[in-house]
Amino acid sequence: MNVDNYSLIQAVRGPIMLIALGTLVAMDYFGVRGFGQTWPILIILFGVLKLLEKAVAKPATFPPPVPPGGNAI
Amino acid sequence: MKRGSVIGPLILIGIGALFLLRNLWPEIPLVDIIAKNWPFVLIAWGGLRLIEILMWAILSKPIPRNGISGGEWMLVFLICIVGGTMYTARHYAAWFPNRPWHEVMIGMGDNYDYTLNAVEKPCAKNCRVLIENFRGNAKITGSKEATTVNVSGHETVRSFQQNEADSTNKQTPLELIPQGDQMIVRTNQDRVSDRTRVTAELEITVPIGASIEGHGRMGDFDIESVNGAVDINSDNAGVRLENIGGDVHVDLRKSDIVRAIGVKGSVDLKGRGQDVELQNIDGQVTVAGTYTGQIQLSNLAKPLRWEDTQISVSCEKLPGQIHMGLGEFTANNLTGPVRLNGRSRDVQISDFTQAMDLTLDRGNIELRPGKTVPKIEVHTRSGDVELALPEGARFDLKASTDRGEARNDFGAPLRVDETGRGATIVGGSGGPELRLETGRGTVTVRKASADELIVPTPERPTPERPPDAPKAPIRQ
Repeated sequence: MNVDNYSLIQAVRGPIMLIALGTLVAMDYFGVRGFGQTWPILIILFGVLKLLEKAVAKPATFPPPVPPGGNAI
Repeated sequence: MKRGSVIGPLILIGIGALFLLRNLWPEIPLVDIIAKNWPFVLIAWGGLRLIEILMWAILSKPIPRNGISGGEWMLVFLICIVGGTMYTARHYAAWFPNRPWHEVMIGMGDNYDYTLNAVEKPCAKNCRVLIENFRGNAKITGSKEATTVNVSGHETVRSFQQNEADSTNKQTPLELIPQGDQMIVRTNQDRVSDRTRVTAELEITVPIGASIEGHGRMGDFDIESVNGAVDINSDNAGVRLENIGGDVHVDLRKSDIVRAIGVKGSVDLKGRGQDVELQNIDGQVTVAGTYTGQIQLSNLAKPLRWEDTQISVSCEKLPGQIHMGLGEFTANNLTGPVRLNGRSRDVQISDFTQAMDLTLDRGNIELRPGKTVPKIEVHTRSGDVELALPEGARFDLKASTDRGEARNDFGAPLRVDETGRGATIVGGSGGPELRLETGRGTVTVRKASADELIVPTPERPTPERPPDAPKAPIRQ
């Protein structure tokens, strides 16, 4: 499996959000909990997925800091 | 080659299948199913796409940057809007809890008629028949030969679909349930869903000694020839009673007519309504409520107490009749001390021989006592007062107006005193006190002409035949 986790999580974010949305609306219709009460779950879920993305992201490669003063020619 | 998802084709297949289903089996309530289950389309879509992405990841194929593209989100949004609207429209009752909306929606359905299976059960001669809360008309007849309670009739189901109406009809059989000395007539209308409405048309035969208790939501009660008590309680009903042996209690929130003819017991009327017609009542008549239509009372053998927001009337007996309409009160031949207290009304009373106490806010008053003149006391803030006295009667009169003119057409021994803007007629030959007062208006005292004094036989208004067709909106 040579796909990096970062792009995988980014790709599944949409479908997961869609499933969550459908589930909440269905729960409303079948009288479990009203969508009016449960909608914040969508925000939380989005936040969690974003967080996961950040967590598995490759550590950023920074250019080496230029030493102060520099090497005066 | 651009890698495609299976979602697009699946959506096309789904839409095609739905239309096919609708064409082949139109009786399937497709709209209902979609309205309630469209969120599962979102779930399935998300699930399929998730599986797809995971498969691609496992197979090391390049995966798209976004699982669901912007365009697809737009489609999701559209599905949510359409689905939500359908759901709202189908479950309007929860969204518009007030009934008018419900009535309008129900009104769009069709009527389906069914004949109800007749039921019959034996009961005691003096059993109590209880008609449970129902919508529709009931015609109840007492029969001398009957030893059973027999109920038959038909019902109308208002619904959007035939199969829904059929199942509603199956859910609402007619039932007779004996309970002690009570027989319950049950229509089971409370079992049906909010989306259909059932109205029943019942014909009930009971033993003549039975008493009746009816609860209704909307519809008429016609009761005839029953010797027991009658107790009707309804949100909206026309009530017609004839030949009732017991006491009658009627309590209505709304009514187009209450008619009782020939009641041996007392009559007790409460609530709101329009027309009231009471005739040949042997017991006391008590009315407390608001009745705004034509009111006709005649031949009441016991005291009458009428209390409503506009007028209160009481007398001991009414051999003659009283008629009340919008802004008018006409009575003739009343017995016993009469008290009348009203807001704004033109009052005309003739042929009374006992004390009269009349107070109005405004309105013209015309009084014509019988041969012997009783004590009379009349007050109105604004309106003309006219009193016709028989010649030679004994009385002690004082009739005054604060602002207006006084006319003495009676002659001696009365005389007119003019005081400022008003005037007073005083005089008499000793006898009962007659006190008439108006704040503003003309006061007239005149002689009653000879033909006026002949006690008019109270013209018994022949009640119009109760309409055969029930008024309740069985069909809208």
